[in-house]
Amino acid sequence: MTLRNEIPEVAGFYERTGRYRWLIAEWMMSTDHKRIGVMYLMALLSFFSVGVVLGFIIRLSLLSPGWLVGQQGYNEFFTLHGVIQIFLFIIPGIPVAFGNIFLPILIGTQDVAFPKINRLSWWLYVAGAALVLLSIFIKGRPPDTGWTFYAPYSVQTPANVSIAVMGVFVLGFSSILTGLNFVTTIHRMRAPGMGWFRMPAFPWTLYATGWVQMLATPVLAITLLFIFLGRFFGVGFFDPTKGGDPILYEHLFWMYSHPAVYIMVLPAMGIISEIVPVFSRRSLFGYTAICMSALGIAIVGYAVWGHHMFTSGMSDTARVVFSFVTFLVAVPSGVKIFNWVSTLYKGSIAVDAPLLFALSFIFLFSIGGLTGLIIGALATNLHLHGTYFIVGHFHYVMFGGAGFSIIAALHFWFPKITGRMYNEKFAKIGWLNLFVGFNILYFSMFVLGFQGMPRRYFDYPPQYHTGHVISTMGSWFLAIGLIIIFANLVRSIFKGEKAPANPWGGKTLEWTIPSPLPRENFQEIPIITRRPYSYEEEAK
Amino acid sequence: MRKLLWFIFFGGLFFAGSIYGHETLDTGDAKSEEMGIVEKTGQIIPADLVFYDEKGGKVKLGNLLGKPVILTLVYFSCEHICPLMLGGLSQALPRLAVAAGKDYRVITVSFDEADTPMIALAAKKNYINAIGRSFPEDGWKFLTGKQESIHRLTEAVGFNYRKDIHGFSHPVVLVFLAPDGKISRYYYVTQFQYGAAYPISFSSFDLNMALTEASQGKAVTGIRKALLYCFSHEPPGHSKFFNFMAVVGVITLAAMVSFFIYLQVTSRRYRRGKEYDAEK
Repeated sequence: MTLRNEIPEVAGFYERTGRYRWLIAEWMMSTDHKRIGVMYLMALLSFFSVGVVLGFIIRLSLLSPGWLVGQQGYNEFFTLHGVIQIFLFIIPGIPVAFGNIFLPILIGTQDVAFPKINRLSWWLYVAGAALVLLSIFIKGRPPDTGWTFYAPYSVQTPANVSIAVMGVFVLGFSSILTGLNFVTTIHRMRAPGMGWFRMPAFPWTLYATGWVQMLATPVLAITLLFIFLGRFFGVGFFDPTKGGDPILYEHLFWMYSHPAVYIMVLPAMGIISEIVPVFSRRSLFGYTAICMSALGIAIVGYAVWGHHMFTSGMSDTARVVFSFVTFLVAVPSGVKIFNWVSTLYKGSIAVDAPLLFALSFIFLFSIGGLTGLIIGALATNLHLHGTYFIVGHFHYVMFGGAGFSIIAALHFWFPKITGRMYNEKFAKIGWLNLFVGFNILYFSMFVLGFQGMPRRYFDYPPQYHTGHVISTMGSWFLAIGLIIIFANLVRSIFKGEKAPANPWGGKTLEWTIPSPLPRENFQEIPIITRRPYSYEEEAK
Repeated sequence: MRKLLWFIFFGGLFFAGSIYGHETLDTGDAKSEEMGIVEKTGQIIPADLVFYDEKGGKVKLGNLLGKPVILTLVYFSCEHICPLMLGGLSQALPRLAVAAGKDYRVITVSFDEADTPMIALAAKKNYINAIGRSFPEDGWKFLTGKQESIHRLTEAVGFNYRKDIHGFSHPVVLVFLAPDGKISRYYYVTQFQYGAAYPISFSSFDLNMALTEASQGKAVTGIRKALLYCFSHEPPGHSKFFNFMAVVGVITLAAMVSFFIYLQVTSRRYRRGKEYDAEK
């Protein structure tokens, strides 16, 4: 532990600067990427907990249809659950929180390329989130369209759709600016000696994500604008009674929202690629392949949106092509899975909480990915489309994938961000509950879906009752797990042991600077001379 | 400090104002001038309307009533949903508990003035053929007519359609009439089973039920559902729209590519320490 002693005592980034009298003003006006990232993280986790509570109520209500929320209420609940979890939590998710905090540090620079634009995108995020939440609290009905805002219903419903759509529109701009910022940062601000292939895997995935954010999000913006025109000026882009076409909406929406799936999951893969080498004490197997497959996923991911619409009415040629490309996108994902597993092979594995979550990610994401192939195939899709099978698949990929990686990153970087250690025992107990509950909750959805239970229904015939009861019981374990995990983390912020600079023995740059992160990232900009995960080289 | 207070003050005003800023759109029921269905359940359709039957003979609508009637409004040159709906009907009719021609009658009226009795006859042969077993000739009438009769009929059942470049846009619905010509109920076609031999199918249970109710002269207002519309998939406006989208897409893509090139070209100027990059 000589390394720790070499680091001089410096002010942490969260200590008052004294430039503003009010704490809130000081943080909101800050252009420090670490502060912005931490604020994002707090906001994201708050929205996540709201979304979890909504989802929990949905599950509880399905125990005996209608006893908790009625028909209209159910529509509103699953819409808000979706909108909050997707647009407020998981799409901005990893890039804005962990990307903001760690991207500049991982590539050895003091801040992102445009700190003020970074602050602007944080403000836009707050504004967008406020608008979305406003749609719940103002008079009238909360949105009830489902998170996809499918036309023509979103154009016709009397609910407060416009304001929610406006919120998502604003969030989109926040996302574009973040993408722009990160791409420029990675191009221009890498430390001396950090060539493209000396960059850790997480910045690589953020780079791929940045391009997707810039290229795909404008499509969403223009689509939502059309909903606006439809609602306020009666322009019928998507309304067949006015010569428009509702299928067009689906195309435009998924042209964004499928790449958005990769906005959610690519950085998650980056996080796993950081955690696995550290806890197996081996350099990342197939580092180049992992970085390239991130770009591969980002590119191929643009050409698969049609698989959301196999039953909506498309030419057979289009369906076959979309189905084939969907299979293609599984290849780079598979490459990553094999590389992580190979990294573990013959490693000196320390099964700490971050690795447990990372391993769960690999397991759950594999199930999510493989079931994705089942519904990506045309014949099976016709049977399974619009059933719980889709819901199960989606949650395995989004929650089991992106969600678990966020929790993994929280534990992995917790000492670095807060300067404290969390309690390992409670983290593991929480993990066990979460993992078991997760599988009970969502695996039964695969079974229910295969039996034909349609999604988005508040009621069901008696033969699905057992499946729903099992699924709901899973949600209780999951909730207990989440409570333990977050209670442990919150408690540790105040009462945890002081964390050393490098508690896990990581090799990337963030572990060379003190915990908690200092106000200035680096006293002296490091010069990079080797690849990021140099365990073997050191052992020699 | 004062700035912040002002900020909170105006923010509060904005929030308070928006609490009442909810949206009041109608529930999507078709207005009378829009394409769609305006339900007129319980009203009687005019019996004096004159149409032409398949042989070109004049026939009064009133003479075809007297038993429950399933009325469908289509145009015979349709290449979209109309033939699929009639096809689905041809599969359901022989499965019904009641006998066509005796207990009920199907009347298909073309709302396209250009359709002639000859075209109607061809359509009739086609669908009787599709039924696949003997079906009373009198059980399913295919009528054509003049603009005025068409207009009065569609008006009477609240069926709003619109002429497009390649045909018509119109709702897809079965109208059940009581023996006295009273509109008993609207049966909306809501499901399109993609890939099935007959993408539009009717449950014989539903049809039996609706016919029984119609024969008793009941007026049933069904639950309003999202009904299917029959419309051309690519009206000319769309191609303009797609051109617009293509142009916007190309501009966006070009912007991204030039941004990438710009970053690459200028990185020499902006990024320090490149000399260390080379592998040792």
